[in-house]
Amino acid sequence: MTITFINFLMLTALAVAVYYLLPLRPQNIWLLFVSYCFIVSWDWTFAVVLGLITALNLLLAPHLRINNQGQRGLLWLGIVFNVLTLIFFRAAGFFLPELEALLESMGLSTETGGFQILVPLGLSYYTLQTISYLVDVYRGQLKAESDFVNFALYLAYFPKLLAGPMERARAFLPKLAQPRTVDNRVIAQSVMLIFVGLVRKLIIADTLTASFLPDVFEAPAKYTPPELVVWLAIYAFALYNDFAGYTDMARGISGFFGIHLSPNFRAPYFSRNFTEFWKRWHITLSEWLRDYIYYPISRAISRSNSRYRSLANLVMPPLITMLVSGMWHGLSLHMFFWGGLHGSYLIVERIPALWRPIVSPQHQPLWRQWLGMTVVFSLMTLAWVPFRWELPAALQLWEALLNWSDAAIRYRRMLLVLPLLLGSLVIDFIQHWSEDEFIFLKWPSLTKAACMATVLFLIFILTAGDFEQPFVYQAF
Amino acid sequence: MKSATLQITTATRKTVWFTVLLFLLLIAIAEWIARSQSFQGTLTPPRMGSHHYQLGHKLALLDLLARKAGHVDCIMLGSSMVDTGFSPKAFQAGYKEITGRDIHCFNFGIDASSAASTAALTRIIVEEYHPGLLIIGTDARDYAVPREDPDPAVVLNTPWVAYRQGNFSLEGWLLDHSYLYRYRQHLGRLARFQFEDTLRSYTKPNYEILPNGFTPHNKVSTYINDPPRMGDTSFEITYYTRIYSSYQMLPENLEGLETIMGNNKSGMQVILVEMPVPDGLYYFFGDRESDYKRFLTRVGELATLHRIPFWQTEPLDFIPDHGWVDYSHLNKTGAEIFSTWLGRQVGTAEQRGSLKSFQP
Repeated sequence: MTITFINFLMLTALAVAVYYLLPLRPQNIWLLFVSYCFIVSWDWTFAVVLGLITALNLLLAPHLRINNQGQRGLLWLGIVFNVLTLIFFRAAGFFLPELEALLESMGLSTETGGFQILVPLGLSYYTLQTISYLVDVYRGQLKAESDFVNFALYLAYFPKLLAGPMERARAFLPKLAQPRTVDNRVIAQSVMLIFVGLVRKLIIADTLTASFLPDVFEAPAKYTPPELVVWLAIYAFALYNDFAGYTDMARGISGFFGIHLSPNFRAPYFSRNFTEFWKRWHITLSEWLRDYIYYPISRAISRSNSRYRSLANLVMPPLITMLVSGMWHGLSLHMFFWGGLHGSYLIVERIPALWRPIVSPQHQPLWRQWLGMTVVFSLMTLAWVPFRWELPAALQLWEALLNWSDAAIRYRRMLLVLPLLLGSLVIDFIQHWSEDEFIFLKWPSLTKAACMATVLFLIFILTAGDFEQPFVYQAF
Repeated sequence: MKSATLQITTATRKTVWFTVLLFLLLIAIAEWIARSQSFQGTLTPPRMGSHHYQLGHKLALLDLLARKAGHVDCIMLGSSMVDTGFSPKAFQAGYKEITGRDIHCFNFGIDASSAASTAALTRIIVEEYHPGLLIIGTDARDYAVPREDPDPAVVLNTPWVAYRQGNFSLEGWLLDHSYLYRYRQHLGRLARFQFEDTLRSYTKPNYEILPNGFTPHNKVSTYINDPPRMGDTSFEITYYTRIYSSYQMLPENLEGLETIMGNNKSGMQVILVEMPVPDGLYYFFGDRESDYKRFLTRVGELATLHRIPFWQTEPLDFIPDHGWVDYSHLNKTGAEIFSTWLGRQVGTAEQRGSLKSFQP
């Protein structure tokens, strides 16, 4: 059951209806129950894994800080446990079939019918949330949670379980401890987020995804460079709208429970440099990586007496952070490469900082800002190649992009989707320039109604074509 | 109970009402467009929510014929044997030869239909088009395929077909009343870059259906009088073996036939005609010809009971060896011979007064 399915909407409607009838404590119990029902609807074992991780972290956290002293060994134990759990499930898909094949080649019948371990739903997201929770408790920034329901709900809360936003315990747990209010403003904001999410996911992302010919992913070198450029732009916008659409819907749904979830995107394709891009793309993950990978590495290097401190601080924190980000997205060479590439972008961008102060993008001349946007979008789109394609195919695609001897666009139907790219940019532009993601609520009633009616009509038509796309980031 | 969490007023009512009204307005405009002939002429016919590739297409063609001619005089229903074996053009010519009158006929043979599913379709066709003459092309297979078999089930489980049989469903109701809803799947696919070429491949996978519903085949088979080869695992052989080796006429299909024959009482002329089969088909039956004769006898009994003419083609043996596609389907040549004969039969019987006159 995913977020655009009708049974998910029915579950949410039931959850909301009962929720409003309950006082605070039972509300949290009810939300926890609904969240676990949602998990079980995928696979009951996912609920068991999450339950065990919840229990172990809850039990460990109170021992991380005794007499105002952090217990480093216990913290590492907790981190290693959570990371190993993630690696185990992530790697299982790669090494278990290999192990089975090896055993069979040795004449040992495994009789398993093929080892299969599914990655539990939302594992990558709640693992990072548990790590940040343990670190915050260790640092004394957060008191260990003693309420099982609240802590379990923090990890399992169903609107954010599949693909975030990745909430921090110190911001999220207090929300669970206090009464929530859902008034007209919250309802309007929630409805608006859901509508924008539906536009992004069902109208823009799914249509863009449907426009792909299957061989684009299998044999990209068949296409001419201009065609590949268009395919890559389509992919970039499909991925963005898919994930941003999910986040908007998740936040909108959560709004009905009076629980605010953090924004995850802020017009990322208007970024003028890569540092800015990571402040606008998958913000909650980027901030997590910044706080728990980048800053600790940077601080550790700064504390050392190395002669090469500046250079090391220029290279190591962004590179390691982005490599970790790549591995979080998938334990594979191409994801590692994707992370490395983004790390390199960040390093190159910071080189001038070795001899002159950094000028923030908004203080640069307009032409520099536009140039920055173009360069960032182009390089970032090129980096999506190893994100989506296996490394050999990615290399083929890059190679094909360099050979402009044939610059024709033979598959002209691909151009029909370009207005959708524009539509995506227009939504971003309106929200970005007004610096108000709820700007649409300030529009006149009739304009809002016309937009919503059109969206509903388009969804009525578009959802009839036997075409359903899972959310891309759900897979991570 | 007053909720402590939910604290809303009705201040945003205006936007909600505007949205609902505008949405309904958009639906109404789209429905109006979907009903227009120019829109329908542009797109491949809708599938009526069915997974059967022919159903929607034949309905659209029948609708078009009815609109063009003002009425449809006769419709022949049945399985794929009717689809490939009944040429309305040849039938009309044979009929005219005897009576001197022009009529409009349509072939509503649907691939893999059973007597039960043909009965369901007959009910819809009769309600919609009131043809004067209803010809049911029948064959032994019609009675052996259970209702749950994927082939008839694909017709019977179509929400629209089920709705028209009195089993209410929202989707069935919407398909029955809204052209927009009928075309919604096509529009959805178009919007997802499945253009007309893809849409056509859903409705017409191999052959071109003519505007009168006939699907002519040009293939000529030479093996039709021989027994099937041992170990042949082709679909044709395995399918007929499955259906005929222990031949049974199922009650639901006999009931379907009786339902169809019930239309004869409503002023409409119903004729039952045995679809011709080559001698080779008998090899598939456990008891060879005696199984086949059992089918003819039982259908004949029911026809007599309902006072319906049942014309048997088996003793006539008028289809030449080059008139077959396979063990049971007529090719274009065979279809023309059979249909001309049938047209003459109907004309002659009508002139003799043994049939109700079905001229409008």
